[in-house]
Amino acid sequence: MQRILILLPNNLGDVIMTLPVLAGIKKNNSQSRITFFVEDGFEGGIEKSLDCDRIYKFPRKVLRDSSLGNEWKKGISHLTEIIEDLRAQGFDSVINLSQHPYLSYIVSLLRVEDVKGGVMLKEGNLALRDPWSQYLYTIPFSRAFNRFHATDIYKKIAGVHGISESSILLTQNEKENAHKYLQNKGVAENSRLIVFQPGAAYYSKRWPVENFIALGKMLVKDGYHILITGAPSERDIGSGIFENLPDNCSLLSGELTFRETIAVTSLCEFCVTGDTALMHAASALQKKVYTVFGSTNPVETGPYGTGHIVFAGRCTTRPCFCKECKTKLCMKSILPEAVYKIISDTQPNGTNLGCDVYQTEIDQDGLYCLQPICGTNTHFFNDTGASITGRAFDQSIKALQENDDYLMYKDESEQTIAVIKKMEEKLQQYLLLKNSESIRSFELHKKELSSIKGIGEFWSALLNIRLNSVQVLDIEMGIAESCDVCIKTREQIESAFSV
Amino acid sequence: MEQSDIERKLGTRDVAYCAFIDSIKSRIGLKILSDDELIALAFEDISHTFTQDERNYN
Repeated sequence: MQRILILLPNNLGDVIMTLPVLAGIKKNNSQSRITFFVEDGFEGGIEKSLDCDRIYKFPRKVLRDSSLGNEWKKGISHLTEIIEDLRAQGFDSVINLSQHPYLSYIVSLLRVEDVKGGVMLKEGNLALRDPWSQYLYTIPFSRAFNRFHATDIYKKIAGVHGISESSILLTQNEKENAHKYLQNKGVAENSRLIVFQPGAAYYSKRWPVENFIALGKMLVKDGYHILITGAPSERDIGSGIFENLPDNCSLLSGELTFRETIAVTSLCEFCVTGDTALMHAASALQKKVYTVFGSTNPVETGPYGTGHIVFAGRCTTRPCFCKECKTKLCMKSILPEAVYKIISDTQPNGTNLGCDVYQTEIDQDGLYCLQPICGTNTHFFNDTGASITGRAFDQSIKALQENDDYLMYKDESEQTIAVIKKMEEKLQQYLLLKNSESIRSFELHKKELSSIKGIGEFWSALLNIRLNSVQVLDIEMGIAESCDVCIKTREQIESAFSV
Repeated sequence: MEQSDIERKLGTRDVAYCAFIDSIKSRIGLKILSDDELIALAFEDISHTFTQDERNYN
């Protein structure tokens, strides 16, 4: 039996995105025993999952609040007990999917040999040893060169390949309670139910309320009954829609837990939402999702599965990940009429809907992708560039050649390789001569990397993440290891262009 | 508790705690940290964490 600890404390949507990972691990080895480390209150998506043997609820808020005033000694004792308890579980491997530093410290303290993801070295610097975690951390520095969904990267980190089916499991009791709740709300039996989830984590991810109202009016006319969901803090947003849709509409915002909201969603035909936890929950329930994306990236965090529809607003800076956007051009370019045309399947082929529309798909390799339905003037990533970075990590990926982009990226990569070679030489020189001049020259060459743009930024981020993972206290050992990192990274870049 | 309330309270943290954490931070990169020091640094990082989900469930 292999005991595996997976750490991803929040958020709700991120936790749900790991369901295919859990299913894949169990498919690989049915004898494995998975413990999922999640922050207390964020376990809604994995509760009752047959692929998760134990949920370890971490009391982050309790610990955080104990750091205030004079309770901090108690807080540190509490954290020490938690770490001792985890240690006692005797995990064989740890998969840390979170980027919170505190988890890297905890992982370090567990003293497990087989670790994927961040681990804090005893010297105090963060180390990422496995290639796909390094890839994951590289993405924010160079998004145009990634084509993988977060779930697929998590799968790669965990060593899960191919298609792994997964879904949120609800008990009969949970479904019956949802049914009764709707009855009490006066929702007629046999209503054609749909969910509107208008709230989202922050302003830029929210589709304007007036758009939900306009779309709601069209759908009510078609005979649907709309259920407006949301957290207590989203009650006002929900009310703003509900008050303008008096017929065949129920306001649920703030009345249900996340788990209860999932149960209600399971009774619906489809869900209209932004980039939210409920979007991930609905797709994990195999319910069709129509989702509107603004500042975030549907390539990385779209609804995982086949047949969901993604509307992406047109804006030259997308995905900007801005939380507060002055113009919100991307969201405004997704008109309710466009969403309605797709839902009701009334748009003629080739119609310009003013926004980009994609259908999600899980391909034969088990990878999520977006298939354009209409629009797609602006791409979220460069196909050729992403195929090159992908190939550097997985030689089974074919690099797209025979185009100008390929030649440009090859040139940028060759420039990067030339600089890394100079860095290697300086480190080797130090190991021979033990002179500080070599280290100064190494640092100057390292700075040269930042002048190489395009795909060079991806390689540079990757190399820096690896160099930062080197232990620093034993200088000679650290420099020898840094030299090794440079050589391996250079060879990896070269391999992306090998035929 | 609202995020702003927490931020205000963080400003009133115990002086002894701040001195304790600062002394550990000053040793980073100079020595191998003990388990107790790593736990303290983990705790310090937790003390600064907020999640968007403390406001809603998205």
